[in-house]
Amino acid sequence: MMPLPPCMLVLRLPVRSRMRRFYVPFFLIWAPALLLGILLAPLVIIISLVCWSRGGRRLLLAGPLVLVALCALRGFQMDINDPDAHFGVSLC
Amino acid sequence: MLRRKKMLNDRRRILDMLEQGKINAADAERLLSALGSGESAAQSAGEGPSGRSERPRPRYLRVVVAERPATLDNPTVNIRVPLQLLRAGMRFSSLLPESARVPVEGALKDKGFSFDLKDISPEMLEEFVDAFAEFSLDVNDDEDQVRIFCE
Repeated sequence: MMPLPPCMLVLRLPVRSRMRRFYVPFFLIWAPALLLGILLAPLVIIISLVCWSRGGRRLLLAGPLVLVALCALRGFQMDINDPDAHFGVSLC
Repeated sequence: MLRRKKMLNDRRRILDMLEQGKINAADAERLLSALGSGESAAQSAGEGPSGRSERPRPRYLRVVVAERPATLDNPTVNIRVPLQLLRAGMRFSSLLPESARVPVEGALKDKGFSFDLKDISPEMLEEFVDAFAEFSLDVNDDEDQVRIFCE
């Protein structure tokens, strides 16, 4: 079963010698992105059909694959605690 | 656990009936054999197709780097990558045009990996990811300690 796309991006950055967390609500952009995708879908399909022999099939497949890759990013986490660099990002 | 206890109780009841004379030795042997085959079937129900106990499938690839003498509880670098991303990334190989796929396969073949990218099936990928469950790599030197594993 495909996981849901990530809802929140959490950034951990040093601010004035202290580590602060910044929350970016991804779920607020999914709805407008979905609407934009639905509006652009007919145009993408037409372009794919016109350019079918020159890679239009890949254009048609790329959209769902990008969505699958975005959904697969849920759970990604990276924390760097080096004396010279402090940085953290997680997608949940 | 409950199934095992039930089977022990059934075995005890059979022996009690034999002692009380309600069944003869042949019937007791037949009943115990039937119980034993049921027990082995119940045990194998908890095993996977390979005959091994089902292990939880790995979900993340972890890379942990710690500077000595720090412990891995407070690592310098901690990266967790969902293995689902590996599956999704392999699907992108279907987007590779022929002009790009052939040089990639040629480069892989030069390094000793002789296979076609388009022959990678979902079943093969699932087997590869399942094999990752037992993957673990530890590198220790004087300054750093690196650990790569799946969980």
